[in-house]
Amino acid sequence: MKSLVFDTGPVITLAMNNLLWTLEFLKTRFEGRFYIPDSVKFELIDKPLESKKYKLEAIMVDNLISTGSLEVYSKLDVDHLMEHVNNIFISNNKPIYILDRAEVEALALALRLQSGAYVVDERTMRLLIEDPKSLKRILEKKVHRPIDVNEKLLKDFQYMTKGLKVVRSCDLMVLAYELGLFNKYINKVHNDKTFLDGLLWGLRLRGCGISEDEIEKIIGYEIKRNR
Amino acid sequence: MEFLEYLGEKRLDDSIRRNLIRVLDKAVNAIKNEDIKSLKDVSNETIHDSTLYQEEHTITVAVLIYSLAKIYERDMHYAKFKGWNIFCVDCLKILEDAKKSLIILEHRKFDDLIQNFIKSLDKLDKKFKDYIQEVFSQAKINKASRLYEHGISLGRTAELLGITKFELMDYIGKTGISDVKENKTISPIKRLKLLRGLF
Repeated sequence: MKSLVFDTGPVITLAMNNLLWTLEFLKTRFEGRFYIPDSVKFELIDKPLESKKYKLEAIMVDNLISTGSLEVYSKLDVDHLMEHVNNIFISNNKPIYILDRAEVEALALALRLQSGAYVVDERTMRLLIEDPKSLKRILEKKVHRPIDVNEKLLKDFQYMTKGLKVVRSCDLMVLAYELGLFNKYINKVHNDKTFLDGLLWGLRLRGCGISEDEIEKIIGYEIKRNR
Repeated sequence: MEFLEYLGEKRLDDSIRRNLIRVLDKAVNAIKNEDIKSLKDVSNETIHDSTLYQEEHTITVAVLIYSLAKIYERDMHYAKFKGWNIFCVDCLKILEDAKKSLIILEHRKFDDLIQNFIKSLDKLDKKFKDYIQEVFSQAKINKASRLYEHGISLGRTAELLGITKFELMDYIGKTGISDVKENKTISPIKRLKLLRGLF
């Protein structure tokens, strides 16, 4: 069975943009299952339910689980993987702890299920999978100190994640646009360009890691594709 | 108050202790000289160490100093509140005492002093207290975004600062962190094509 695994971030981005409803349609079209691990559920539902500020979003995400649009996967032991990824970068002989349990659980789940893609909005995990040297450069530039890399651990990690596709909430929403899910919002007053601009900026402003330059590229590409 | 929920009672590593003494010393001098910019700079410096060592006391002090910088920056606004002068005197005394306690290796006292700083808010006018608490909450989110900018993941920074990912994502979206050139890996068009292939 095909699957997509979601980290916490993309679901938050969709919730805060009132776009959670798109997941049900996307799942039907995908003909597979959408998963989150236990720790991601905790961050999306259990923790925000304790406060007032994001309680509504938590309730809306919980509804996605009740209806089966999102499924929770519980049997994961990621202690070893946590140890592994958080020992790749080193400063002064001390490892730099870069990822949290929910992020690692989602990664482990995507690998275990051999998912079609790992949906993650935050950049550290994405860079670790796609370009760890870039992550090293960011760390060095920001802390003004050389960062060492445990090459053995990095090589093993790259072997583990080879072939894993990483996508963001913005990529999913552009696909939803291509599939016509937002047609009701596009009219003579708000054309495709205006809508895509609003959509992508909305996602970016609520935490999706997409640059201004990428937004322009996507809009240009989609408008050209529509012609 | 939740501000210090993440403050532990672990014994400090000596290099961290020495660094905290240096930071507190700079902060005290900046406050005495009414030098807000230096106060903010001290907090930012602390973030570099927070990235590497992720030690709770260092992070707490970074948040505390940044909060004070934001409060002093708006002193014209806050000065009208009853209790402003007491607040200023208390702040300076607590920072000085915290520094001394680290020098004489009294870690427990250091923890207590930082805790007392928050407790001292109880003496303040309710409206003033609410303002100060809001400044502390915002300072935590600001410092978390700086850690994220330094390369630590969103989840790890939220965990270190004791905030939710919802709060942090809402904040970082309004920064320019996504525009950093090192973030760019696969072109967005290629990523879209990959995704299209799955559906």
